[in-house]
Amino acid sequence: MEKARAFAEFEAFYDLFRPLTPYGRVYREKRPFFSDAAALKEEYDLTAAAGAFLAANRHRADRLRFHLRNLPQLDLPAPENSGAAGLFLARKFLSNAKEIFALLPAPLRARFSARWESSGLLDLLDKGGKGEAFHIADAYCPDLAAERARIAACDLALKRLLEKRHKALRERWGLDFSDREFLVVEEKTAARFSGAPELFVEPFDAGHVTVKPVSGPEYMETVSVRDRHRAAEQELEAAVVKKLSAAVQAEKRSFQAYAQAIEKIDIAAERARLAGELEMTRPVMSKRPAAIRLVKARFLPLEAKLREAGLKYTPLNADFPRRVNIIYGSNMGGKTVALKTLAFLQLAAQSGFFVPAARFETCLFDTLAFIGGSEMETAGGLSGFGLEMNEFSAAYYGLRNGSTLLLMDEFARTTNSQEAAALLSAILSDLETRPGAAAFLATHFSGLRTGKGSASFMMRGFDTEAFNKFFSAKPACGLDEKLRMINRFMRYELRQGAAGAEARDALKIAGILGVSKAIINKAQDFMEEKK
Amino acid sequence: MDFIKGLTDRTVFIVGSKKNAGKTTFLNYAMSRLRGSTRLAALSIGVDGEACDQIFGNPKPQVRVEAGDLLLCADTSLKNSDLSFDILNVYPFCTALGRPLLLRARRRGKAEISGPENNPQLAEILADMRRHGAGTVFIDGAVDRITQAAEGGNASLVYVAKVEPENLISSASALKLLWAASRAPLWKPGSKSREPVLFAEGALTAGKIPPKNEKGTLVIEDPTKLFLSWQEWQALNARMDVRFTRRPDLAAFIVNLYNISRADFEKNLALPALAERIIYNPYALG
Repeated sequence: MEKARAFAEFEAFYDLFRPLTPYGRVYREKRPFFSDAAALKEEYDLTAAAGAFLAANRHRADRLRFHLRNLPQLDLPAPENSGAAGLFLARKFLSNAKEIFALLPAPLRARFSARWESSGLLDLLDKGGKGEAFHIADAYCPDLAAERARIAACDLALKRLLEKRHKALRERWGLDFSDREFLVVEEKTAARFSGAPELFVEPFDAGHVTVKPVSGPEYMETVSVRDRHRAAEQELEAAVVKKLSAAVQAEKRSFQAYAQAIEKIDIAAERARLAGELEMTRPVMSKRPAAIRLVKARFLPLEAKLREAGLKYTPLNADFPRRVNIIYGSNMGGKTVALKTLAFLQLAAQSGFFVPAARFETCLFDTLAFIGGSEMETAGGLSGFGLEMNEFSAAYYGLRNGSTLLLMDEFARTTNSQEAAALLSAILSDLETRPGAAAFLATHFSGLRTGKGSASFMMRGFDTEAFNKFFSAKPACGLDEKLRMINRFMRYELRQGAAGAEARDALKIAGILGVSKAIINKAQDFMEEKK
Repeated sequence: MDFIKGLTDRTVFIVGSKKNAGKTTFLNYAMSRLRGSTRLAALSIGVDGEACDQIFGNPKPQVRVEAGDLLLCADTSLKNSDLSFDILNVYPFCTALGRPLLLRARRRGKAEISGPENNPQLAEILADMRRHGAGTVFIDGAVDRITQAAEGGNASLVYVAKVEPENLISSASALKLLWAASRAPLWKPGSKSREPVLFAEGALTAGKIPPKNEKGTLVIEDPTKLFLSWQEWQALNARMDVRFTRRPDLAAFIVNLYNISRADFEKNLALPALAERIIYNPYALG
């Protein structure tokens, strides 16, 4: 499956899928692939419902995204391990969940199983909150308010004592401690402080001492009183935290239900956003085996690249009524892109997404397998050919366990054409007899022998007539211009019923790409002789 | 000490020449000076293992806070804390010290500040602090995180050095290097530069200095990427134009002298222009 994902450049699209909640992000990392029709239908239904709501309620959509983005991950610890931070998160989670649910109309809430039933708990936590902030408020415990009032009185007394002490030190010794807890003083200067009970002096370095104010007994006594009140406050706070944590814990099941509902909302909203922005439509899934049909299907990674290069992109139209299909075509004629488009749409559809096509009819497969692109690879001593055969064997025997969409690009191109054609003919004939398989082969080899269960197609290829009419012997300069020219006159259309047909565009393409006219002419002569 | 008023509404990185150089002590002093004129925020960066105060060898000084100050603290540090606070955010990442919380002090107290472990986390926390009204944000520690905030164009750097006889030469060298780098011109794409223009990727160490026959312009990311001696820097400058792509504003050098007189230190520094920029021991009398 990974190779099929890579072939379809699916990651480039998946990178755009950015759920906003931590729950949605966990879902994303699982990379679900649906092979159950009912489960997939549920995903599509939710995406469609979310999409309709978001499109009709732009302001609410913005608010929904705001609250989804603000929703924290909540791992409920046992009450004894919880703290104010856990309560802050519980409150933040509930506040956002409540808003998210409230923004959705009742029928949509029901579809997402979003039932709000924690008003009592949120009211309780709100006693410690104002806006985003949360603290263990006096409102939770009258004794807390009393202790805090005593601490505040101590703080005031300490402040006054300190100011009084600083004033006295300024007046008597000229030492200003208002912004500093200590001063560094030359030893000889400090000699005059010797024996002053209100100053503490200790060595700093060989020539200096540090001087600190001595706080005095009244100050120390007030500090001691404050410490006792602070200890009492901490005990009361701990009791409040325990009580609130127990209240949160008691609604653990509700929290889990909210998290599940929010994950669904987040995923559906994000899929709907992508569907809207990328003009995607709901796939039409039929029971397998079924014909596969693509109408104006777009391979998004290529579409984006061509748009960037200022080149035209041609969407793909194709009907594949049979399970086994062979696609012939020119060099650069779009065979591989046709395969990639199909792989991309099938992966997107079975990952729960809508697809970039005016219409995409298909059926579910248990897996996708891609074979090809191994010309330059070697693995475990296998050549590119060996690697392809090994991959085919794995996919072939995998058919025992379930259905497979098999995509083969220039399979066996690295061996001699006679044996390759024989091997491919045998493989395709065999696959016709296996109902779990749907196979698509893009190839250069002409005249493959297959049975009635196969269909052949051909990319329309280079439009020589249009090219000759437009192109008045002016050579193309630079790779960009050459590609632009090929893009302009290549017809990326798939035509059915081209069994045994051969593409004859290679020499034209070679000419455009700069191969000398003499060589092209010579090659044409050889072609004529062969005829 | 008027430079402290100049830190108002800026992101101030307090970096030290070494562990226990006196960064947190300076932080307390600067916060005390600025309090009342702007909302203050403080966090640290990096787990540097500092356990002791540079002045007395006492346990590392905590940050003194007043009601309304914003702080980043690890949840683990709050268990026995004196602090009373509002929680403004709990971040979804963990550091070696625990989960960072953004707090607003509800009354006077002391706090052990904490910090993120990477630049994206730092950016998120700084944005959060600003959203909650922070004017001046102090960042205590790790010099290698300056660049992130420096990109905002509102970052200042305060360099705190502890100079003792045993590190006199290296301390003077480090100060001169940072001072010289802070005066080097910025490089911008398309700006007129002596050819060829070479770019130093990451840290510039002695081993990565371009060969001696190489002339032209050398572009370095920022002064914190310089790991050269003063002599190496001078030699490099003599043959190449050195430029930086970004550079935080160097607000001040704070130098705490131990067993060295100011005259001896400045003699070793041998750069009168730099000596004028130094603030010696802000805790000294007079």
